[in-house]
Amino acid sequence: MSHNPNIFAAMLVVALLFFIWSCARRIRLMTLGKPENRFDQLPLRIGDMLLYAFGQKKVVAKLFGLNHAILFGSFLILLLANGEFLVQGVFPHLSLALLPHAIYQGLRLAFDVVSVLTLICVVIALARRLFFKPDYLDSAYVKGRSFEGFLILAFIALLMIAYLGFGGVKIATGLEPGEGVPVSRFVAALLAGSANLTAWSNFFWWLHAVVLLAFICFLPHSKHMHILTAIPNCFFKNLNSTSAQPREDFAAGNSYGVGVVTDFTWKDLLDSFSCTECGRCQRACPAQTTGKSLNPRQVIHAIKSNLLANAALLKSGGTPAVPLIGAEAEASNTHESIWACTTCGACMEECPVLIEQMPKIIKMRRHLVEMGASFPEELLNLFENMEQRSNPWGIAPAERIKWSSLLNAKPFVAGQTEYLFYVGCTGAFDSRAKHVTVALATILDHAGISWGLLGKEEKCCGDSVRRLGNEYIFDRMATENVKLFKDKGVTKIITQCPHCFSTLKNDYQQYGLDIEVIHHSQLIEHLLGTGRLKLSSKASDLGKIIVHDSCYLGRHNDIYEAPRHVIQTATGHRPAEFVRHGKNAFCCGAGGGRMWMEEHTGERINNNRVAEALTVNPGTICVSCPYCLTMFEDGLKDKGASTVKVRDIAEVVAAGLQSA
Amino acid sequence: MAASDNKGNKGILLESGTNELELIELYIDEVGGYRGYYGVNVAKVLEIISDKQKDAVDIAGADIIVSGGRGMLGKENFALLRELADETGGVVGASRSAVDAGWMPQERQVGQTGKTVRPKIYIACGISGAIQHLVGMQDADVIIAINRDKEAPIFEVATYGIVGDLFQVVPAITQRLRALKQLQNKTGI
Repeated sequence: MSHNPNIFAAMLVVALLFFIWSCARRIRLMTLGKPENRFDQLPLRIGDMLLYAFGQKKVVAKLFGLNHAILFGSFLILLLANGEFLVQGVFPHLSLALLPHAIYQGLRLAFDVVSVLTLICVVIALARRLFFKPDYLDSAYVKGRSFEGFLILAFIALLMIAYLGFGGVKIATGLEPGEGVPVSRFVAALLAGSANLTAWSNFFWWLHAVVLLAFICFLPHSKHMHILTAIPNCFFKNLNSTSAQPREDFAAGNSYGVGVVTDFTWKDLLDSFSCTECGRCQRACPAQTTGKSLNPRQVIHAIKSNLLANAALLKSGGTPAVPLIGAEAEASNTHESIWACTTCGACMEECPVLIEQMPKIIKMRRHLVEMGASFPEELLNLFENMEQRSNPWGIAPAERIKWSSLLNAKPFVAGQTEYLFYVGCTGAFDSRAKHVTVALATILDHAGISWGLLGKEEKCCGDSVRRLGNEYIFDRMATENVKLFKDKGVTKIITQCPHCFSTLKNDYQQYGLDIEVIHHSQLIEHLLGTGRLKLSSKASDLGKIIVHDSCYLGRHNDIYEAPRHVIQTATGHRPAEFVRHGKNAFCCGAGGGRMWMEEHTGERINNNRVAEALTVNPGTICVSCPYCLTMFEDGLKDKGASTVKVRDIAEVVAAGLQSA
Repeated sequence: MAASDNKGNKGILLESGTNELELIELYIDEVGGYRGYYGVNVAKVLEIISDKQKDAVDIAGADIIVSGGRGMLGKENFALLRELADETGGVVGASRSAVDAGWMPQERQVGQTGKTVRPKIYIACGISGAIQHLVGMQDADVIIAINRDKEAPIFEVATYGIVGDLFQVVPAITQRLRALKQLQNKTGI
């Protein structure tokens, strides 16, 4: 039972040096990224790290995540055992046995039980990959049944076997008592008959030593580097709005967006080293689900691959040889995939280690638009219309107030009007959405709300242009709008569009606008709840209602209950749910500027969502977003299901009002 | 000029009237990109007729456009519109849904993500008039809308609106135009 501490010490030093060199190389690469402050609000960050990294909150949101959570917990406990092993390997007299006996016995029991638990989890993980492999474990460049995946599982299994084996030998040879360590004692019983316990002892010890050192060396070079990066990644999570991208500094000589990998911030690059290719974002992504080339997981994988492929050139300040955008390769993103994103945020919602996929796509769009004027041709019209007339269709601003001709709509006057009703482009120009605008105005009047309009002076919020990477126009629009709101003395804004809502509430904060912005679902919920709005009848001709969550209301702003409460009060019934609802809701396909583009590949996203709705045979699909309204009505026509109605919650409520 | 296909085979570009070639393989890339015809000596190429030529109609420059939408119900029904277009010297256009359904090619699409047109007369058949379509055609001098749904927003921009079944209305208009033309020819007016 002896090994040469000097030989092991030499091996350990080599392994540690290699490990440190590998990590340092990667950290060095991360620091090539642009600066970004992720060190604020430390208590909150520590809390989130405990919840998401140590608490594995998102990991266990899916059933199989339990297996990972057990492995993770075991790993933390066995870190102590392996630490002891390394120290004892060099200094044989140092061990945990020096601790008080009760503690030492407790630790032995913990190591014993946890090792066998880990072994079971490894077997389950192996079985899953071999026999029940979900499709989303595969991506274009990383397969679920990868050599790397099996190698890591083999490493862990061998470590456990070696640990329990060595423990068994110690008991069998009488070096340690068998009490309190049932698994090791069982192994000891198996070994008891062996003639050559010394050989077994050496075998298990060196097996443990070699596998552990190999594991340490291999770790930074594999996707399993997440073991090191996931915890800090959760600590450095985005504490701001998930939908608002950072501003650009428009000045001569600056470049915008991300064209080469080091244009990303250091946190973007840390994200890429934190991904362990679990594929959950891939499964949730509406573009990927409907057959587009975009895969949020591959976006992250491409960033890491690109950084490593260009490492030498980047460190010497040279131009990267492998392009980040434009090639159909492991270390690159195709134009098609970059433009396929609906910015729905499902990828970020899914990610167990809080990687931010979507903003990286927008940053690349920004580069394409601002630096290369390279974008799908459908967008040329949109950009021109936005720039010249501040609406997506290029309609004359005078027509913004046409919808209000039948109503007693007044202009907003500071001091006299409480709320600005920011109608938004769709609500003002789209003939279908105008019904919603009128319904909401009627509701406001019934409830005695003091509201006013900006009329012809209202401009587009700029949501689409920002998500499409046209930051220069957005910057101008946001600046103008914020000035307009301030000049007019606006303090409270009502919107009927979640995109306007989120942009005014979250994006405009970057421009110094900090006022109350309310989505109509919240306001109507409040008015009904406080009895300020009374319904004279319940809407009854709508059939079974199913409720759809708008991404910019739900995932991006955490408003899920308001529309449901409104429907419940207006109809007397809680609405039916989609299979994918709430945080897991599936996008209608129109976000991120996709409203203004065609889907040339695969199934249309709205058709996928409509098909999901039709499985519950609804009479009405209820929405709270004008884009969703269009997408559902369109999809229902495509599916030949035009008997199913699509209604905004405001229309459902207005139907229950006595005509004034 | 030599070009190669995706298998790396070398081919020779065919041009009408020039090469004497025997066709061994024909490549037509419908989506766009390179169009090549491959062959080795022998036959004389008189003319190349491709789909592209048939559809090479610039709807943006047409004076009269007869457009069909989802209400056309099928590809074959566009023949009705083609007849009307032929009779008036116009061209056939389409809404996004008709293009999406594969009834008409993409280059015929009018609207936000298609072409913006300003014809003298725009006849919208079975097009409800979603804003994405309206912005592509609302600057036409005269808009004639034919739709079963009297609530369809297309009527908000139409100069003349016909609420009715396009499968009756469109042939009736075509017939009437033909009759008028025959009368003109006969009387020489």
